[in-house]
Amino acid sequence: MERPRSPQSSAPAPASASASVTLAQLLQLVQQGQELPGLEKRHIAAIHGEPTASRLPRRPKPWEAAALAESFPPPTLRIGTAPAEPGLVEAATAPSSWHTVGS
Amino acid sequence: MSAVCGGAARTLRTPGRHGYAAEFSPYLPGRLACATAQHYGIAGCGTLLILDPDEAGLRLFRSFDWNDGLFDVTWSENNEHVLITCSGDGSLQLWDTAKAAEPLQVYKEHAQEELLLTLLCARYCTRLAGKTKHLRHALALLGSLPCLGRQDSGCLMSNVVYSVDWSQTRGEQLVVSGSWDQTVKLWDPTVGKSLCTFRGHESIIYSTIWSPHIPGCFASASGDQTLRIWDVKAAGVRIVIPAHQAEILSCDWCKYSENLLVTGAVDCSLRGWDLRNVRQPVFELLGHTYAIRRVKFSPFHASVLASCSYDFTVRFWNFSKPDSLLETVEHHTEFTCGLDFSLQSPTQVADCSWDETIKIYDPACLTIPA
Repeated sequence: MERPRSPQSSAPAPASASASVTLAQLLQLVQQGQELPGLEKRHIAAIHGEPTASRLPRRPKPWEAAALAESFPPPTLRIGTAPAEPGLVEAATAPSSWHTVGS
Repeated sequence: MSAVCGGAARTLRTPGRHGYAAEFSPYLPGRLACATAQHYGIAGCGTLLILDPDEAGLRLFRSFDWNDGLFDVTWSENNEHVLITCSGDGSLQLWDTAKAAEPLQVYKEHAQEELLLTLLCARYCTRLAGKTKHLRHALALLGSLPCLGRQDSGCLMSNVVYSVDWSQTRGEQLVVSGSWDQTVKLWDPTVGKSLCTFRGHESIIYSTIWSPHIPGCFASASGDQTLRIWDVKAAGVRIVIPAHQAEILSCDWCKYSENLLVTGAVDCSLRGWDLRNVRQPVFELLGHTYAIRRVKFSPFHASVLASCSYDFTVRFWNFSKPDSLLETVEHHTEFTCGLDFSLQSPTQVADCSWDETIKIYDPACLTIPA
């Protein structure tokens, strides 16, 4: 449940924002062939430009960093099997701890 | 301002927009992209929202409108300004957060077949019938709907593109899109036409995800109840797994074991699959009470994953534990469709929902050491 003190902000509402319609109400309007309230029509097209040049280096993913750094501290929650190949964080073979939960 | 363990979520309200997908930037800490649609994605326009955290919670950095609802978003892996969305009108849009409000490029190829709105709502029924949490939803959906034919504003086409993903493997610049027209398309964002079209699925494709380890390899999940593994070099399917006896709405790859995937389905279950032996799942996680809309493996923890559902909850699991359900987060009041793990913080998660909110939070189960 959302706590009363949680920080909240609002996106600026679109120019002709409709009052929120429930899904059931919406489908009923569609069924009756009625106009949907506040339907926003746009005519947006591509401008065919080049992207802004990138200035940041690509960051390694957490799993890439873990595989490369030999002394990287292990993640908090982890399968408890030894790597099958050196340099891999996790075993390539199925750990015996895998099992089916439920029916 | 850092969140206390299990502390309050940062929330952004998005009046008139229903969230379908959320993805953290691979470059900028805390920056989140959210694909949204007007009117639950049934009709109207869409908006891409870019959020940053601030002292008060979440700040809207930019917003970008599109002519139709947006159903998925993926950040570029080689440019911090660039991201791609996919839309109900069958097209993909490439955006630049440092440039104008219009998309830089639009890629439109997914099929232009007309789909009657009756059939569309029947597909919603497939996911919702018998499992709607509120009777009013069930009543609205079970009534017979008239054939509406083609309307400019009201008809949702079968070319809806529901999934888009940018390859994470170094050396590639590839994007894959999955559509309700039953095809997957491969794109190079610098080329206007698709590179390849993959056929084989016999129903709507809900999810297309690149392997984080195997170059040129991606998975797709479909209403035809199969999980398929595809190879770009072979230009075709490698493995077909009849993973569920229900529509599969989501799949993801384990970040620490290159042969392991998970599927999430309308049957409310999550199943793990080892590609070396696909005859039976290696795990099954039960607990959700309605269809699973999205599932993601943790970037930090090898056996941890998260799922969000039409039961309004987000659940965290550790499949290597006998008691696999770690935590159930119940802070939404409508279908929860978008979910992502932070790539910088091992404890942070984002989600978005049809209740017109986007939340970033640190679930207790990720902050408490094992």
